[in-house]
Amino acid sequence: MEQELISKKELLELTGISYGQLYRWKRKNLIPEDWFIRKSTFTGQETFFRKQQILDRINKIKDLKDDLSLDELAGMFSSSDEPSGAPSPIPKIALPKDQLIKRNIVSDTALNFYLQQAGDKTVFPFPSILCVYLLETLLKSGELSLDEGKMLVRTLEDHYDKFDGKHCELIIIRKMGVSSCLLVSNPGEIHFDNGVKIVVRVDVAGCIKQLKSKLN
Amino acid sequence: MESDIRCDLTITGNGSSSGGVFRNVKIVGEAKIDSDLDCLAFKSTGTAVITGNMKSTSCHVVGEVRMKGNLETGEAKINGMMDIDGNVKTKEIKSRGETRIRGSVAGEDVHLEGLFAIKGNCEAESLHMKGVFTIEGLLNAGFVEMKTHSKCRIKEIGGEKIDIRRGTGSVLKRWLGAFYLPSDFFEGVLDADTIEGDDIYVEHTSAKTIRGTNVVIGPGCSIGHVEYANRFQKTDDSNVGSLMQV
Repeated sequence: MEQELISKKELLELTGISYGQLYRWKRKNLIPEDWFIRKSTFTGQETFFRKQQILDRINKIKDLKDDLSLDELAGMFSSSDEPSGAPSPIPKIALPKDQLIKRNIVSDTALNFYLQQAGDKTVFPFPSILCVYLLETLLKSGELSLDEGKMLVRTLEDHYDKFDGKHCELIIIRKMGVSSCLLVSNPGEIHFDNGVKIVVRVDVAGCIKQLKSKLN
Repeated sequence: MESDIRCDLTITGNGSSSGGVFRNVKIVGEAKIDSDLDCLAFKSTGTAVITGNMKSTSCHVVGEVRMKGNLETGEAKINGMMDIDGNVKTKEIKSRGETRIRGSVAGEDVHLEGLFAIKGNCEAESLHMKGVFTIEGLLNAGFVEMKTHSKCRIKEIGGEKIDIRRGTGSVLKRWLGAFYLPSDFFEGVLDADTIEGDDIYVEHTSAKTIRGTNVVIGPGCSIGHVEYANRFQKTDDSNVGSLMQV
């Protein structure tokens, strides 16, 4: 994957940040160590970055740094930095029921539906929040029927723990009007016969990332 | 195996332990720990050899410590010699004496005095160093205060505020030092490849490149290339190869 490189000096000019800020962010792991590419030039050694990657990251940090502490930011970035396949730690967040509605993470309908299926809960640990969130997005987009929603909740509740934070994908298929729900570890190939229609295919890690930014 | 009960470990004289989970570990004399050690307070007077990793909330050492693995601790106070093959991660570290670390050092508040050799990187929020040191990686700290003695070498320095001065000593120390300190001890110089920061003050330093917002070059420097954004100042007896305002 060859990308355009940008030197540290150009980067600072372009983004208007100082050396101090750059080093501070590096120290806080907002910019991972292996993004710093060292190359020798005629003036000695210089540090380069992949242009697109670093600009995206710096803009994001600049946008968010007023609202979030650097440590929180680091936590947010850490999961996305890992190459796919590596475990993405499930954040240790739990929220009370009313907060989920209040903070506009899920709608009332989705939550009530979830509660009917999984039993009443007052405090939601992160996997449960994720489950409601997935339910909400899929029901909202109209891709999922309520019956399939039930199945989704059961599958996630029963089996999500087994992935232990590893990347996985959620697939819902239909064949001849019968649907089933699969959780597949990622990356993996999966093929179906012709009669199967894939209703949804969601990358759970991506979803965790979205959810994390909503929660923070 | 995770048990909730942590027991104390005390070794007096000559002894060894196979490691494990403890509450307080106290060593007086000579001890060898043959595996990982997880404890709350670690106190050692004398010689301690740990062949695994160590994790503790506090670590007080007088004498000698050798560690094959990593050290992770909340607060570390070391007087004497420390030799660590792995990485060091600590909130606060105060070290006087001789320290050799073959991995990297990460901490918040780091005070180092004496002789230092760090093979990897060194990261801290605030860093105070005094003595003779060699860092082969990147020194990255919010605030760097350095007092150099003899010949110091750091590959790269990056941070917000960087202040590098020659170390001094009282008249008595200078006079007594003539007997046991190296002859160039009070003629500290620093050799670095690049120094980058917001506010930089250097003294008796030779560097290839210095880049910063405000750069002040004190006496006795020889710098290949300086780039500054806001302010530049230098004393007459220092050499700057090329100067550029960006």
